[in-house]
Amino acid sequence: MVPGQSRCEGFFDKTVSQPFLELVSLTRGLPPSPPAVGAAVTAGVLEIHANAKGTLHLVVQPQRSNPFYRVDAALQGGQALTWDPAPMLKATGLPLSDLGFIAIAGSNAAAPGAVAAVAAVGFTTQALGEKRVYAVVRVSVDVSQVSWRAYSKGAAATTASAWVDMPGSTLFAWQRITLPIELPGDGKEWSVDVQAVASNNSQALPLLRFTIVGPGDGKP
Amino acid sequence: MASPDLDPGGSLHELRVLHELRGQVASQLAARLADGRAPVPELRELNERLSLLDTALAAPVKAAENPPGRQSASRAWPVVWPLLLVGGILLLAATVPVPSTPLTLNVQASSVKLGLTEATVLGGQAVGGQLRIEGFSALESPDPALAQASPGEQTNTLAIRGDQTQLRALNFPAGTELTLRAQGDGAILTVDSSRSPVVADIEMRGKTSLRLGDTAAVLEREFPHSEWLKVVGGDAAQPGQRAPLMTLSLAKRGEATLRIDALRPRSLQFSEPQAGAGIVSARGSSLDSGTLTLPSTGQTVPINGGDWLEIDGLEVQRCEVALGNAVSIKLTGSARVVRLKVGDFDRSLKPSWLEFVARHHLAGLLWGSAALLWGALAWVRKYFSAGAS
Repeated sequence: MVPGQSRCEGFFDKTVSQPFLELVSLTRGLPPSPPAVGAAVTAGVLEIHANAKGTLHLVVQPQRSNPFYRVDAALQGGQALTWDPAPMLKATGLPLSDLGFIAIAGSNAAAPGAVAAVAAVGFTTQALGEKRVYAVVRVSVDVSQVSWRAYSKGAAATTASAWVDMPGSTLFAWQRITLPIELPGDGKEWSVDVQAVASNNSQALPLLRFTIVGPGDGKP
Repeated sequence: MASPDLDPGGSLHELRVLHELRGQVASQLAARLADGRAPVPELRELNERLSLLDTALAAPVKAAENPPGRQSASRAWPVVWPLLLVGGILLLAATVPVPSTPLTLNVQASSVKLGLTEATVLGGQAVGGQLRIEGFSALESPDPALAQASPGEQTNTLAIRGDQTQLRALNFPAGTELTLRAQGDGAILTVDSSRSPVVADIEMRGKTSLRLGDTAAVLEREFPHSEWLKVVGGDAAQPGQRAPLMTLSLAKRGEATLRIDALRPRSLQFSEPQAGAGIVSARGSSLDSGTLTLPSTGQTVPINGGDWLEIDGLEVQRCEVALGNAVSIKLTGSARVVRLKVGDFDRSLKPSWLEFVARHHLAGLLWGSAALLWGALAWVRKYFSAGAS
């Protein structure tokens, strides 16, 4: 998972391509529902916030594997970005709930292969106060089990929490699952590992690893 | 008016006669002119005779000023220099090589050293047995038992064998020499980086045994879920510092082949220490066989075991390396240095400008040389016709 990077890299096998897990959305709360069905497909202009420092790279993409449509924008931490989803919804034919929002911290030029740092996107200022974030994760192959754990980065390694096995997480290829993750109250960086086990050979997919940055980073 | 170097026996006498005759004719003409009754045809005849005598007298003097040898040399020089110019241009075109030549390389070797000028990530390779890493300075893992087993001075080796071991990623900074070696039972990657850090990301699952250092006890762990381990060579905070030489040995299962296509090497070298070289190790060529095709000249050069091939200044379009029983390289790009040494015969395979132009701009070359030849001939003809008049 390296959102925002279109580079193809890695060991490469012609016959069996590496299965993977990817993060398609990380939000606090869910985007406001569109007006009543049947009305003009105007979801209204969205306000996008992120509770982190510096400039973030906002990526909006369908949570499904296609169509390929992507919005890239710069998002200032602590400032609202207004975005009208109507053109994207019209072009893709998707409902608003099928869109994924990711705010990537740090530049794309960061060390390649590094664990991505992301900030949770909120749609109201109140939502930024919520401790629970929703990570939407997609798998590239059929999997029998999805599990995740979260821990404080840099602290004693013993703080790693136990693995949480997601109930009913037998997924088909390209199916997605939402992980509800509780953030600590201090607003510091929080690391998340997501694991999936392939159905066909019971081998684990490479871990999806990302860190959720918050406003408290850098503070003692 | 006689010249000193004229033949005294023949020409000098003749000249004197002519001279006397001219004096007579001149005085006769003056006398007849003074006599107003002389007929015009007679005067004209005398005048004509006088001018003929003048011409006859002037010719030997001119000949004495321009001796025949000097005249031919001064006429020959302008003929030679257009030829020299054409010859010089041809010589230059035939000897000066083109700055860079496209090439397609398809070789098998026992090892290859790639010079990489860009930061590179290799990732996602399952290890079918033991993974051994030598030469690192730090370990990171959320697993407390692993994190505490931080390497000291003596312990910079790590061997992992487990139910499922995976080299998730291998990161190295710009300015790295990566040596890939294939053996029957696995692949060896040696990362020699002039900068820091070199990071190997490993994931393990299931029953896993780890051994840190060569003497330490084996650490038996059970990971029902995946666990990651990061092996770091050098200090990330000091990127300018040289990272320790890191060697990764990946065992492979059966006939599996490890394929890498993320490499964009700047240079390729095929040399390795020779077996049984003794105390001072000699280096031999690691090449087994293959071909090098140069589309700019349509040349296909066979490469045999033991040949030395050096490629530098590469701009790679495609580079596929497969590590099976041997290292197989398929590479397309263009290079500034292509040298092949067979025995003591060392040659550059880069074509000269003449070869290049002859292959790719044949019509232009023909028209150009025709125009040049015509120009040179026109010059020579013009010179001779001017000399004759």
